[in-house]
Amino acid sequence: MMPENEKVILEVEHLKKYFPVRAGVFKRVVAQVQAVDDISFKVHEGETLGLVGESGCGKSTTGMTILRLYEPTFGRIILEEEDTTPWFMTTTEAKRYIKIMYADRFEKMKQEFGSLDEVIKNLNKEIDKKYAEIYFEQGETGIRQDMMKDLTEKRRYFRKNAQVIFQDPYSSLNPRLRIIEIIGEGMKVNKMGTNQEIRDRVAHLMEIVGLSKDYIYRYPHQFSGGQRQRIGIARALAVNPKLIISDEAVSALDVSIQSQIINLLVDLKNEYGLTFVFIAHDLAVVKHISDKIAVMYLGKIAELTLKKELFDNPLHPYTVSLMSAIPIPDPEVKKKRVVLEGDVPSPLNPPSGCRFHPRCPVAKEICSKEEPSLNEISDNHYVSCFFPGEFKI
Amino acid sequence: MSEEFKRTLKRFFTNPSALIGVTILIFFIIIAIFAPWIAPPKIPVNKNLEKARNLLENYSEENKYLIINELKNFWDDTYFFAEDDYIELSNLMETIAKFHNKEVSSNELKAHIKELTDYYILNITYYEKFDEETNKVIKNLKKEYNKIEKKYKESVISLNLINELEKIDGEEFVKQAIKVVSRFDKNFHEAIGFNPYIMPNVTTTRTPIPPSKEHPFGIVNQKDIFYGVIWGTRTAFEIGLVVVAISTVIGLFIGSVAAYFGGWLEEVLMRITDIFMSIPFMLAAMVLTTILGLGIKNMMIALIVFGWMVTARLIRGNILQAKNEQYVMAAKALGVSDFFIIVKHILPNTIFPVLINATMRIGSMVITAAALSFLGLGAPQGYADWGSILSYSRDWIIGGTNPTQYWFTILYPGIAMILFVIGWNLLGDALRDVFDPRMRH
Amino acid sequence: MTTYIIRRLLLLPLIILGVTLIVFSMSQLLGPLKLLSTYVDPNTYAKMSERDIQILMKQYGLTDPFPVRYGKWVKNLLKGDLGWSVVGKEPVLDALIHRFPYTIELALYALFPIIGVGIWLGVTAAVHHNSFIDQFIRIFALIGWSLPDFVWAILVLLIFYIGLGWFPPGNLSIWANQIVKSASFKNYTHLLTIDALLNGRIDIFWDALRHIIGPVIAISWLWWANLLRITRSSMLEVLRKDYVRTARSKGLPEKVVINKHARKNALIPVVTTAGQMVIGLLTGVVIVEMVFVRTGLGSFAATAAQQLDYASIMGVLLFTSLLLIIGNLIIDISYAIIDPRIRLG
Repeated sequence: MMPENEKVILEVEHLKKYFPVRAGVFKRVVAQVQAVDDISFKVHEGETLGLVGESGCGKSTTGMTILRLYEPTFGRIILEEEDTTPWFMTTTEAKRYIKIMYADRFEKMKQEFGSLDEVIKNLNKEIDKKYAEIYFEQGETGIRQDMMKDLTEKRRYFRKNAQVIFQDPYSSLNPRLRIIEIIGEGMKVNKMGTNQEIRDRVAHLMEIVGLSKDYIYRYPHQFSGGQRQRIGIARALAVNPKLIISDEAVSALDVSIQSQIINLLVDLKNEYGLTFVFIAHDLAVVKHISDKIAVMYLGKIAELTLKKELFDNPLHPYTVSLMSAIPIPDPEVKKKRVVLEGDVPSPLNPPSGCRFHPRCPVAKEICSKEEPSLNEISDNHYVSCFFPGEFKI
Repeated sequence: MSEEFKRTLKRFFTNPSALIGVTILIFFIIIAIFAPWIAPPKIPVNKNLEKARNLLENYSEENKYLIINELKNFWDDTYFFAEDDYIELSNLMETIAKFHNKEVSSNELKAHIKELTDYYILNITYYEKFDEETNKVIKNLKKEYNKIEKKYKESVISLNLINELEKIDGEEFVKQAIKVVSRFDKNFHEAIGFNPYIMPNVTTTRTPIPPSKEHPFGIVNQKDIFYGVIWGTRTAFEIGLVVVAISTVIGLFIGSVAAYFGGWLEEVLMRITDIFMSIPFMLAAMVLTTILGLGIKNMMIALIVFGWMVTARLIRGNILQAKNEQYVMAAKALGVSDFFIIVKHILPNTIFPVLINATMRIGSMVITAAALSFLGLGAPQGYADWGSILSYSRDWIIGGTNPTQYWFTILYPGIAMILFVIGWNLLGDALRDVFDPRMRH
Repeated sequence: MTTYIIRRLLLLPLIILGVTLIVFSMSQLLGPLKLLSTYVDPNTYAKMSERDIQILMKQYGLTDPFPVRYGKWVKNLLKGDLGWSVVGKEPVLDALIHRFPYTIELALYALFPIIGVGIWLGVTAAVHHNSFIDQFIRIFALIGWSLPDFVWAILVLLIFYIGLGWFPPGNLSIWANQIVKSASFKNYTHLLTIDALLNGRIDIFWDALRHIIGPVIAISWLWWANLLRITRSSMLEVLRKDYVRTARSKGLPEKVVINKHARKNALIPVVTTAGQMVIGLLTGVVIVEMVFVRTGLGSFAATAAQQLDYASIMGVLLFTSLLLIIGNLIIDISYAIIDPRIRLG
């Protein structure tokens, strides 16, 4: 398993993404869809985090928000020890973010601990320590200057290092561009070589993802769904990213093709040491590729732990019920399946207390009143439940 | 050529309606291009120049001075007053300049204009309209001055050319003289305002004359219908292409700005589009043409002003849809700039429906323009335009006795018009079939 | 749905304001003297001196700045004062009101054959997709779509009036017109055919009807083409839907499948087109009224334009725009009520 001191590539803290609901004559905001509501996790170098949940639980939104295709409502997204959150914000938004995330917090700690050294000692993240020092030397503007300088460069750095593989192999490739243009576009934008170099690399990438390099002048419609998905993977690989987020990359494919694509991803991961966030709605798909799995329910993380631990010892009732839905390819084995009652509640109006309680087979009174936090029950095993492990099959 | 393009072309050219449409349109394009040969305009000739040309054909030494004499006569007829007119108008321009500097009162300027109108140098309307529309009159006077100045300069050049001719002999003379004559020909046409788009009168009686060998489509209101139909092809192309092209560009601009910037700008632009759409097209075009004053150019302006909204809505909707496509998101994730996302990813996938729509609008634009001409609001009297010829035809068919004898007045321009519109509609239909995304996968 | 309707209603004044602004701006492209003719009968100032004309212009506020002129103009509009119509020899509003019923009557008579035949042709073409009948109907539509309305109108007049003597131009024959204008004939609705029936004059009813059929034929082809195209493609789409296939696979007779399962669903998009058609008929009869020498809004507009009667054409434009706006509002709202997707959204 992953050693603890391994380098952290991606760290997400208290990430929230709310979508405003506009209605009425003047299109005012009348409600917020809480698609992602306060989730945190870390992904180490070379590690794959599986993000699982029913459709509508916010797992894709999480991916899109990390990639900054959506702007986060709240939270911090750290890529390789750098706070990337304000990079895509407008100046006023960034100002507000830095005040809330750093200045206010440091000010509060200063009052609590008295001396600056104490504050820094009590901060356990490198990035916080760094900015605390800047803050106490140069104030809020110091942080702002440090974060917002060379913004174009930083944006390019982020775009180059965080890539995405999409779900729909049909709409994810521009039908009017050739494969070489599709795969090479990122390299061109990031100025990663001459046209000749780009062409060679595209051909090489095509072979890596298992397609003939003779196809680089073809158009997307000349390929099958599985082949298109391979092209999508090559496009993401082209810029040598540190992190790849795969948004249900195999869900739209046939089962036989699914396993081919997953095997390809596993091979690529092992060979190039890629870091993945692998989003899927199916535990069976995630099982093969992930090192760590986060189970999401209605915008929150229900359970987060290493893969083996999760499958051996699922603690959250929701994980248990998901687990029971995985088919076992052995007709002799009789398996008890848990069928959850009711539908997934609307994220527009989530249930009080634990969000899972209306459908939970072991819910008690407290579950509807208080919201459980994500606690570390055992080593590296986080569960957000008042009665972990109580529900078993 | 890419394979994609080849496939599209193949799909297009195996489509029967595309073939028929393209054939019809090519036919009309050929007619439009070769109109001066198919229906040669009756070019007016100056008798001096004609004589000079005849003499040049049988050139001999003694003819030389006859030829030069003819050219001089031509010069006298055309440019005799040019210098005087130029001087008088120059003086007037000085007065106008003084008037602008408040050195001269408006009554003095008016008196100066009166002087010129009394000598028939200027049209009397300049004097009559002076009080009412002073600025406009001054603007037009300046145009008049420019025209005279040009004419005066040409007269000096022409005179020099004749003098030069006198000095040379033999073959060199013939060569130069032919050049001079054709230059004078052009000057002559300019001076009398010859325009091949104005159908010439070919008879003296107004009653329609049935088709004959000389006038294969017959004659109506003294005009040769064949000539009108052939030159009207050019008018139809000009109206259809220019109106649709300009209004499509306007619509594209407004629609894509609205879709791209969003927010209040989008709201404002789309409400303006709604407002323009709330005015009935045909009537609006009619009213604006009437206000701007009759004529092809004004009619085209009116059709453009009220013809851009469909494109704006179409492109906006398409862009909004394309914005959410995954390939656009993927490009964004790769760090492609907004500008390139629009140019490379959004426009190529949204522009085709707009072009198809534009193709289909050409036909209906030509119909609307013809309808305006038919009502007497578009093309000026005698202009080679299908709608105008059909409006002559209406007078004879509705008002005439035994109207079936005038069948040819409606048949030929009518068929030209229908075929032209059908050609564009078939082409549009075929393009839609070929580029329809539902037919792709 | 309520918020949609309220939003739509709130936008209404804005749209109307915008339209008046456009129409007014257009009118200002005329010079001040031409504008004066829209307020006063030109004969009254034809012999006045220039000074007096200037005074007259001032009187009508033609020398004011643009916003002031616009404000005054809107105020007059609200009072119903649209200026003096030279062509109608009466105030513009009266001229419009007198001519509107003729156009309504024509549109009403055109509506039913257009909708009936148009939908029938569209459904027939779709049911016999790609057959000989389908091709025939498509060509029929293409010609209707490409045929300039004035050419077709003249042909109709040639065939049915001059050739066969069935449907004469005009609104009424001379003898009938005399009776209608006389005091004994009561105008209830100002629609000639209906008033004739209410007066018990079957002969006048027939006469009015005879005059209306020609224009109806002349209008119809283009609209048939429009309507049948939409019906055909909508019907084809529905016929490919799974529920229609299911109905077929259940062994239902083809007639039942089409009448019960397909047609109803295919007609939803047709409804909006039909609504727009009513408006199109009211505002698009210029040519047909001119060719058939009928009194009505269209011929009024065309005659006014030919005689440079600016007040009248502005009046027609404003009036028809208002019709268009209100018509579209009604269509949108009723569509919102019919279509559950909008209703629940």
